[in-house]
Amino acid sequence: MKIAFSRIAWGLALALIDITINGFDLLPDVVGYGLLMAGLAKLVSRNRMYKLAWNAAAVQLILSVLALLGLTRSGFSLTGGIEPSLNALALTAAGLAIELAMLYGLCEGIRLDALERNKERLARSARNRRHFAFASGAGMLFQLPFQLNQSLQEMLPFVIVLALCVLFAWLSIVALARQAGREIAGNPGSGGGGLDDGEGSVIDVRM
Amino acid sequence: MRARAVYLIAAALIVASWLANYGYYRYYRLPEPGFLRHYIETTYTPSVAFDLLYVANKDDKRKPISATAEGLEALRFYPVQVHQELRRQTIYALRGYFDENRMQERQEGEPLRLNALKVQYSDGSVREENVGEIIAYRPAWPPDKTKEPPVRFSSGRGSSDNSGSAAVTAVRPATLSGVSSAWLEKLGGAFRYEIKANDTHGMPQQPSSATVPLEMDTGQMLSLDYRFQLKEAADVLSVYNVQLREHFTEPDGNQYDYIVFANYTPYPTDAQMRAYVREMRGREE
Repeated sequence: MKIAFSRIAWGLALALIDITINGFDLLPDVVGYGLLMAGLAKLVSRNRMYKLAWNAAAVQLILSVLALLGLTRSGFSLTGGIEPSLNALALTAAGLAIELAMLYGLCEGIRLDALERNKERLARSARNRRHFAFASGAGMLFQLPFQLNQSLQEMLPFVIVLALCVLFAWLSIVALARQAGREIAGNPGSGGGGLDDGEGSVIDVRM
Repeated sequence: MRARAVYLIAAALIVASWLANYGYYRYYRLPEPGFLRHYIETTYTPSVAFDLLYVANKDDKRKPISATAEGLEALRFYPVQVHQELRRQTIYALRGYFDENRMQERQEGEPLRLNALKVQYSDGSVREENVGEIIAYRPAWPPDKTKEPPVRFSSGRGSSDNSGSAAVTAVRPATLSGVSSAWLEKLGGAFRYEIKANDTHGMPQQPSSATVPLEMDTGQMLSLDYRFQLKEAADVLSVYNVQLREHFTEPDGNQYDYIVFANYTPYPTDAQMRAYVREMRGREE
């Protein structure tokens, strides 16, 4: 199971990082969401919150395939000087809402798993990060439609603070997935640290 | 239970934010794109004719590309340009000119009054559009160049605060009998002008504001200062091309009109554009 959390952490990181050269994405989100789904697939039987995260990641995967094919375009530049259109804002908001559902499912899944294994500290950590992700995401969803009526320049400080909060929330959940990999990768009550089915053991030893 | 209430309140706030902002966004979209109201005086001789300003919502694809007017066969337009980008709307400018190659010989005619032009759009459609009121003066063409005017241009100034001035110097004695324009009555208090006269040494005469009739000696300078003071929402977004005609009469009875061009081209703020949209919406309802 450690490999599952490792895939989730890498998937989240790859979905978060966008490196583009001349508009070509070197690390397409498809890879990130694919890894996330592969990791979550190993956990969906443990509780329904992982299933929620898997479903949300599946929707994000479909959206990122459409974006890769140039059929949709969500997100907008904060520094490009171009006012986002209604469509761009709506797509960005939809993507953010699905991401929030995914992060909620993942954090809550980890929290339930941790409680099952009496890992109070991990459970608390998962709950706090879920709250932080929800608060920053909800703040972003609340302010997005204001950009229909206010210039981006006027709102830029507020938007940048919220964007940084979303970024830190995401990074903190990457760290949470790695922590969960270390602490709950084992059977309930075993104290953690074990390996399921031997899958990924070579990698786990080397890591 | 408490967590669920927090999630519900957050969701309600987000939905309210989207609904309110979307409603506001929709309300301040123009119900119909169209031409601003123009009050134009122009002279049908090879020169700049007039600009037509067209306002559309930013996501409107259709733009005007040209226009024709019956009786002004030499009227041509340069490619459409963006005049001003606002938050939700774009104002486009069609810059018109009278093409010398298309001018035909003619006697002086009555001024032509137009309200509608036939406008060609970028989607291939052609529509007759009411653009306001255009008065085209039609002097004889080609012009009689044997008559030398009693005054010549001396200096001119135009400012972004919609004020300006034009000065002329008399080359022969002449009397300024008055100043007129077709739009003075309509503009009323929204347009002010003042005539100032200098003596032959360039020193201001007392009182500083001159009255007509005003006799001018050779070498004497006369300036006409003007200022637009438009305040109402519909007026602020109107286009005015005012030809202030200074009527000179020479001692032998010859008459000559010197034209001072006073133009008002709107550059509205977002607040003024919102007021304009509200007014357009009010007219629709």
